[in-house]
Amino acid sequence: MTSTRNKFELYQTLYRTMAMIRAVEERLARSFMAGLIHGACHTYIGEEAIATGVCACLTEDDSIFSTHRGHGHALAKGVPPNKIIAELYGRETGISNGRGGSMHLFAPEIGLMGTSGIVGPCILQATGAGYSSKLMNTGAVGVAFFGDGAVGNGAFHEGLNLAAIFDLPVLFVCENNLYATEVPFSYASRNTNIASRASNYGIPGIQVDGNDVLAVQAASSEAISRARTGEGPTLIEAKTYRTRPHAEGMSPTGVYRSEKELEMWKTKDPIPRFRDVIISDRIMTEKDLDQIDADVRSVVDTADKEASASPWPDKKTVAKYVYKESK
Amino acid sequence: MNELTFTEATHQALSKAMAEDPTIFVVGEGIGARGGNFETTAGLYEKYGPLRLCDTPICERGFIGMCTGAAMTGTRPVVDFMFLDFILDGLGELINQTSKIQYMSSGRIRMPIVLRGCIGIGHSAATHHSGSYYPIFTHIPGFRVVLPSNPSDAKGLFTTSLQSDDPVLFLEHRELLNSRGHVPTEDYQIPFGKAAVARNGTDATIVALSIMVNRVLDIAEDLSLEGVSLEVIDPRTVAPLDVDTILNSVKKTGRLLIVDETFMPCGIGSEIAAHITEYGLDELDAPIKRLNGAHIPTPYSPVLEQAVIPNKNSITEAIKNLIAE
Amino acid sequence: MSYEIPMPRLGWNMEEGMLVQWMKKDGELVKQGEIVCVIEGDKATTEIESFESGVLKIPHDSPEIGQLVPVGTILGYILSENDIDSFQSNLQQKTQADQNNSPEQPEDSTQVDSVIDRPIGITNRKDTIASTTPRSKEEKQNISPRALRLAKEATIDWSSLQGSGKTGRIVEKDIQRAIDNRVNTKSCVTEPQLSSTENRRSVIAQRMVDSHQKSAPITLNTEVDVTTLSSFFTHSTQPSWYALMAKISALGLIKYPSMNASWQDGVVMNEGIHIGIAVDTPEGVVVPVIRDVPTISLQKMSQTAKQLIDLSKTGKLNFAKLEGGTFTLTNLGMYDIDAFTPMINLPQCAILGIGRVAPKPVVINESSASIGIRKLMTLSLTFDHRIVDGAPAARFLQEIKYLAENPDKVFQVNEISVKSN
Repeated sequence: MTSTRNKFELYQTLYRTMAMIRAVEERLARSFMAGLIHGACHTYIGEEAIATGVCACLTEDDSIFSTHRGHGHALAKGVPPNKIIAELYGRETGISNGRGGSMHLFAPEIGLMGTSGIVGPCILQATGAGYSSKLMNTGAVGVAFFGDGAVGNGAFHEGLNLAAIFDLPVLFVCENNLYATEVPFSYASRNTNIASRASNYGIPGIQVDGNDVLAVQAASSEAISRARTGEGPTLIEAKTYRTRPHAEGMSPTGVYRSEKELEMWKTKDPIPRFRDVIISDRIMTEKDLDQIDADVRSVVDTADKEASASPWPDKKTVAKYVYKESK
Repeated sequence: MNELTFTEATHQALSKAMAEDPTIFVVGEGIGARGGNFETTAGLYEKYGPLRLCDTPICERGFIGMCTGAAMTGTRPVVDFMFLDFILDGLGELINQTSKIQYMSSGRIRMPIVLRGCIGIGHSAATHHSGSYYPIFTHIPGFRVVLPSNPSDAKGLFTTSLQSDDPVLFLEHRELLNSRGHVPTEDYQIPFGKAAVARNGTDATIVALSIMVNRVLDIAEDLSLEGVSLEVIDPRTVAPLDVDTILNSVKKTGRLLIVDETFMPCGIGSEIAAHITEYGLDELDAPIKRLNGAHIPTPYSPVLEQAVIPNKNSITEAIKNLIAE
Repeated sequence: MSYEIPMPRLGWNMEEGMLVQWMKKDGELVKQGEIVCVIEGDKATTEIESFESGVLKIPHDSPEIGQLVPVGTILGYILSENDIDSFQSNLQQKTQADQNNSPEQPEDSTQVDSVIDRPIGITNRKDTIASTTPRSKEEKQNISPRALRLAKEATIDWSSLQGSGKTGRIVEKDIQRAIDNRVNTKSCVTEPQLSSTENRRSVIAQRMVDSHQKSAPITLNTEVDVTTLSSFFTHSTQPSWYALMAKISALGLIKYPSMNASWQDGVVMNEGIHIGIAVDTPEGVVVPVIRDVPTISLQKMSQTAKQLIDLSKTGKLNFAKLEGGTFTLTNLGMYDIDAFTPMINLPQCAILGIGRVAPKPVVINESSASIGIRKLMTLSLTFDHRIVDGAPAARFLQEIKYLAENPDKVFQVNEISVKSN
């Protein structure tokens, strides 16, 4: 158990991170509608607890690999909001210098090894990070964030198998939000229990309420300890829901889910839930939390303004970095 | 200088590199205790153990992706495909991830991964074990593609590959593995993008790839007795491709033939022909010709297999036709 | 039944192996699964199990221990008991049958030319490239970029050069030859002049002697009724005899291509028809060449012939215009010469001499004994008997006569325009 002080810091960090993700995503959704964002934008609203809970257990030396819905992971890993917003605005000051956009966010300095436009590779790359860690004995962990849509992909099978047979320090986090784009997971699989698949590979599979940040954090902490002590990989299935469309500009329900279901999940929103827990556990007051909210909004406002004012990338650099630049 | 086989030469380079750089590890099917189907890692497992000589299940996409992730996080994987055909399961990982990560991360993430495998037709290995496919990788920005034609070059180029921070496809023709040649004992690197003039001549320039270099050199020797003087160029790497050396040769001879075992459409020959036509049109005394293996999945029966590869007769005929143009 | 024990292929690229040891003796019983022999391949020594039960038979010509033999070589046999006696004769029969039935693997066959190598629309042009249709001057000249560059640099007029490349393409070595052959004059940038009279004379002398000594010349004469031809073109200036005879000869040469050949250590067929016309100049005879005569209109022929004659007489003819002829015309008719023995312009096959046109009495109708006046002209054809025999040459001349006497078969009445050139 953490000490009271640690608990306070932990809860504050968890809350602030979730609030920050929410604020940034809401801002991006608005910017998208205003035509400021080019290409696709897949928001993480409703799923904040997962990125937050997992990343709270990681250091900068641990590597995370994410998917198209990666803003939350990037923010939770420590990328400042202005760098995310600037990136989506296509500016030079973005976290990928404007080269990547939403789906190719990179910050290797703090262990964000990429979000990706392809479903699946992050599982394999996180396995590879685990391999490096084991080979060089660094104690670092590789974490893959992916959705239910990746579970039917060969990469899931091959990656978990490889991580298992080599006992690699990897955490596989499946954010099961019930739909892959607009295909229900219940359609895409005869076995909708994702965590149960872990046993095929001989590794532990843990199911958690993905909208309960403390549960996510606890499960992650345990899995990461296992990984660091050489006991191998874990699969966590975090059950959650995205309350916005698959990608901005698409219908929130379309023909694939009902308003009723959407409204029901909104009541399970992880942020108000955690707010209640914090208040009832007397960790912080309502006022404290409001202050955090206001702070976060202010940070995001400033970030947005900065991003909007940032320069565009220099065309002349477009060919750089295809290969390692020679000195 | 000693005489080594192609495989022995690359083995020497690999052993040296692994001894000096603890972040290098080899991944593939049968490359551990077995020492590799083609003896590429013979004896190394006993020295370095399973973490550095990692035997994998049959999941090429999986271990390509895994090695991509490893290369991103500080180690230098060598993926040994045995038969390069097996790489095709992982094309998605290679093209969408491996080749692009340096660029997408603005150079903050390196991709020091070597992908090695045997290419080429021979001994009736048939269509799933006879591919070359290097034009595919040459086409994609981000890859280096290396095609050594002899043991000495193999050692130097492999050494360079193992030190590169770019993803390298190191492709060894299966029929060359047991070929012998003089190999310097000291360590050396051969830079990418520097073609070798394998033979000097004046009547025509023949650019040949991989095993075809050897075929062409034999024929050039024979034809020299008929008074035909051929200049033979071995590009050694096709990405990057040393077009300047080829152009300078065509300036001398005026005639160009490209001999390549793999398919003609969109091949390296097309690329070379386009460059030389663009930059050396007034040097040409005849149309540029290409001789390729037939655009056919590789058949099994020895008679059919033989019919799809450029052979002594067809290469000689192509050269003579070029001279007569 | 007898079962063969061949030298097995133990590795994907094993070509030969060696017998290390027989584990059973000749005549010994072998059970299925027992080790019958030990083989050494490329890499390792392997024990070979028998697939069958029976008696081991090691023929006397079986490979020796330690002898390297190709994969597939028969080492021995496993025989069933009742086969042992008939084994030897069976063996001979079997070998015979094998030889008769199994086809030999073809050697190093020529590579398959896969037409699907090329994108749609580009067929294999091997057969269509070498077109025998001569190109007109208006079409792009067939010269390689390299040769063109060299010609520009060396100011060579390549327009009448014959190309040695496939398809008649002018290539670098043709230009190089032209450069080497170029008569040394004072450096002049545009139109090189012919050399001095003395030089010219000795060149002509040499050529005439060569022609006389090296060729096997025969001259054939025929009288041609050119009455119709000489008044065929009603509306305008009569084209020159050179132009008319060049066009007519060209048709004859198309029909009898050997007359258009050259002798260069053997008969060399020429693709194009390039006719030289002999011109008398103060410095000696000069023979400028008109290229691709079949492709040129009569009007243009006439113009060109006139131009060449003028240039020759004034000494301003470009040296290159003298090259590459395949047939020659020579006209002494204006000097009242009827027939003569023109000398072949080596390495060509033939030269056609044109005599004077004069009105003469001829038999119009033998049976009614009617006589008329017709314009007659003698043609003197000298040909090289090394290349062509008398009869074919005669047939050629006969064709020329026929065409000249029937100009409607060759020309249009209004082929020459009313306007002057």
